[in-house]
Amino acid sequence: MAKTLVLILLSAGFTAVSAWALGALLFRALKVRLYRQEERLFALLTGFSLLSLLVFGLAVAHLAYRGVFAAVAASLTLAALWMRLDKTEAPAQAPAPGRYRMLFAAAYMAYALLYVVHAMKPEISPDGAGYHLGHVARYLRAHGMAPTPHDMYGMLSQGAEMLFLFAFAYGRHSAAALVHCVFLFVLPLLMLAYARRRGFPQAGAAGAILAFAAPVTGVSGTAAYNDVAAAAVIFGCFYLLEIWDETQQNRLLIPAGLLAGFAFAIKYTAFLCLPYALGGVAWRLRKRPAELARAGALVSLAAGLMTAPWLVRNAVYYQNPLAPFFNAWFPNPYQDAGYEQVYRRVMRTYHEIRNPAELPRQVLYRGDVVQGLVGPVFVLAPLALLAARRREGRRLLAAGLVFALPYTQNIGARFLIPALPFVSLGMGLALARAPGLLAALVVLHAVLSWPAVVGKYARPHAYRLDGFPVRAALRIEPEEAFLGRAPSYRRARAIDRVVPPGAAVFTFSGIADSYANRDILTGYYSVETRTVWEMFSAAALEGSRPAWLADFRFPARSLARVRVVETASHETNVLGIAEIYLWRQNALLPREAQWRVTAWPNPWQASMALDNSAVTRWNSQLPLRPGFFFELRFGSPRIVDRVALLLQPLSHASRPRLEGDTGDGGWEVLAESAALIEWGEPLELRRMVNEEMRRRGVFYVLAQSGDAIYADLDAKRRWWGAEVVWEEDGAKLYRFTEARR
Amino acid sequence: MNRVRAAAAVWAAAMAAGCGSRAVVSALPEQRGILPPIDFERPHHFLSMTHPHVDRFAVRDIHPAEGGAPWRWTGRNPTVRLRVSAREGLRIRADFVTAQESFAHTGPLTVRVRLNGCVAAVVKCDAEGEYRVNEEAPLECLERSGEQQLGLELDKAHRAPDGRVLGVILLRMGFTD
Repeated sequence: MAKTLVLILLSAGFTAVSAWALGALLFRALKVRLYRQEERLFALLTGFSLLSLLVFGLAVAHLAYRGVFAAVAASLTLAALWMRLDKTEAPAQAPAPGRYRMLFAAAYMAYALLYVVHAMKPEISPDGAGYHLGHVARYLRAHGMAPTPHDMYGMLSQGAEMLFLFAFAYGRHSAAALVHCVFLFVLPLLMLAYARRRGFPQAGAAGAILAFAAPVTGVSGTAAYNDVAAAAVIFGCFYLLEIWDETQQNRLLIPAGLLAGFAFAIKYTAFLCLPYALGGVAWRLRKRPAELARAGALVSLAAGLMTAPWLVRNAVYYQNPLAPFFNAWFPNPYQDAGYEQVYRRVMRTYHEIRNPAELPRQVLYRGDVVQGLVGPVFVLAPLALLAARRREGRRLLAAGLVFALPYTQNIGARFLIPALPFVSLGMGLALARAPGLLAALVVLHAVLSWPAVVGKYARPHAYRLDGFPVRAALRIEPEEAFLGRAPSYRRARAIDRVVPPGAAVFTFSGIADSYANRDILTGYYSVETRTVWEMFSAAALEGSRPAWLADFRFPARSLARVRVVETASHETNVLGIAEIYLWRQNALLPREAQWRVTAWPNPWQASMALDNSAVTRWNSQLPLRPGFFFELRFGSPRIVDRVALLLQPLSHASRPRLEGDTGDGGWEVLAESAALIEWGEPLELRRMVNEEMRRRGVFYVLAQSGDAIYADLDAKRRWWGAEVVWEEDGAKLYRFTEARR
Repeated sequence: MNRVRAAAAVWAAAMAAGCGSRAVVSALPEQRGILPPIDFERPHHFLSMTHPHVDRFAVRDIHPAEGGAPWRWTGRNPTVRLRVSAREGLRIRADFVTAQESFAHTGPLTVRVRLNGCVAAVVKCDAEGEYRVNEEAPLECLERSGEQQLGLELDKAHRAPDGRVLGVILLRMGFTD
């Protein structure tokens, strides 16, 4: 127990100290004039960016070993001590007025205690224990960065995860969460320091507590997520640019650029920090082009240092620098533009928000559908517009608007966190002339945001902090007992116990990956895993089974190539071919080794329509558009008079046409349309899935009760060739063996 | 400025590294062994009324298609010839419609689903509409040879003015698993 606690605290502590040492070295080298409080806060923030970059380098070099991290931490700590980096001659900021100082300190301390307890408890947040730390654990096992073609979340920039990796090496999950919590602690201090510099400490203290105590800030900031890290870094960048604007110390643009790039490295949706920074610099220097070029270059180069590693990694690993998004610009075999459209659509509604009036209720006090809430007092957020009376207020509002833009693409409450500090300070500024009211608002927010109180008005399944788990945080309650209450943890641990090392496990829905030392292939995460998912659907779900043929008949022709060309458009339907067959005079043409196949879109899976399996298929991935094609090349001419496609899925909107190349390189229409024949679902589809899974080397499948396939897999396991190797209420882990005929 | 331009060029090159479409042409993959080839000329485990050779596999009481429609009127005992190896786990599937044209005369129907003569299921049709049979195929009723006869047996039917006996509208019959 004590050892675990010590490792958690030391790991998180040394991560923060190492980062601070790197940042302090940078600021010492830059010789910029800041206040003492600012110097420390910016040293820590920019240090985090540099440490993240350093860990990325170590991971790429496959030096992600505990010993290496310990040596780095020890070296940086010793350097900090040796160089007395803690000593500074910078002046202190003027203190905030006494009453507000007390209010800020009381709220800050109370919430800091709450947050540190939650961050220290065993980590079981959905995304934190899932993919954020799942990849961290993978990198640590592999001692370095490795491609994750089967997982879209491994393709995201992982600037925060690099810091988590540094801490996780010794302190495991809770140390990573504590590292994120450090950003949470820094954010209100930065906001307060900014407000003190700008001369509105009361409004600053109030705004800082509004942002700090917001339930969504707390629940995200105490887990191994990255939203609060992004928010702190964005605010830090904003603040540095404000100081640069005031003092014209161009060297400040280096840490500002680092933070702008680091924001992108932490979270794609924080990419706006870079255009914001460049835009701000451009506006300020618009009449001085030579200075503008120099300043712009400084920001760009510093930001590029932080962003380039992720862009290059993705270009090299996934043929798409912005993977897993923008797949239409960068087509690749790992993620597809069609699913990306669906994903983006889902993120804009979360399936359930159809009525726009529901969204404010969700965000303010319900918090279940949008996975978090900011707290009811933010109903007064429009008051922040009154802050526009002041120059600082206008800048805060402009920044808040910019950093709220990604919310239009993802309505999860967490995606408001980057804008929250700006809005909160705006509210503080707007009410600054009524200090009593402002103080009352802060007290009300602090009360309404306390977990026990939130539980009284939020929806039962709102994503929020629950209770004060001090026994779990101190490991008085054993980790296993605390975590064991979470099904996703039990299932991950069962995988570790039952599945041999090196074997992969397919799951239809996510689990706490980071607790399983096996490769987890999760259903919707990639083209590869979605293909597996669709195989299961094609075998078991009525309506998904391949049962219809598109039958093209035409006078016999000698052909070098044939292709099926889509002529219709549809918003959701795709063109899918499970198998293609060709005949000459009722004799099926045997497939020959010299045949070749291609398609557009999705050329990478074209051969799946020629593998003689009804559960694998080529599909266009994208909704129907005229010109999509599937092409078969014979090598040498073949006489053909009939072509049939086993469709999967069946699209009533699709209008495929058959074209042939008689050998002169041009295409002519062989059949304008096809007859639709219901051929019937092939038998033994489940055995085909079994064969395909084993061919792919995936012998284990975890099915959970929410999965569409769960009941069929359970009821017909002998036809699937699946034996249960572990089960609990609502979940079964299967091993695929030879399927029964 | 030149350095800045060079850096910008490198950046753009990195960004464009994955850009654009590439011609991806694949060889034939290894052939899997479970899916039987499609043969329109021989009996299959499933017969939809969209099949180009329905009449070849109809044993009795399936009327000719009307204007290429994907359904057929049946008589009182529509039966088709199918082919499937006898094994556990097979299910009988039959989709049909009791249409006003005959139902108005016959009233509620009882439909027995016969597999090689065995009664595999009984469906009570109390109203006009679509009916689906989805029942386990009794192993003892399946022919070991693989040649199966699957049919519906209606307790009554309507004789139309043109002399045809009208039972139900058949959409499909066969086996699934």
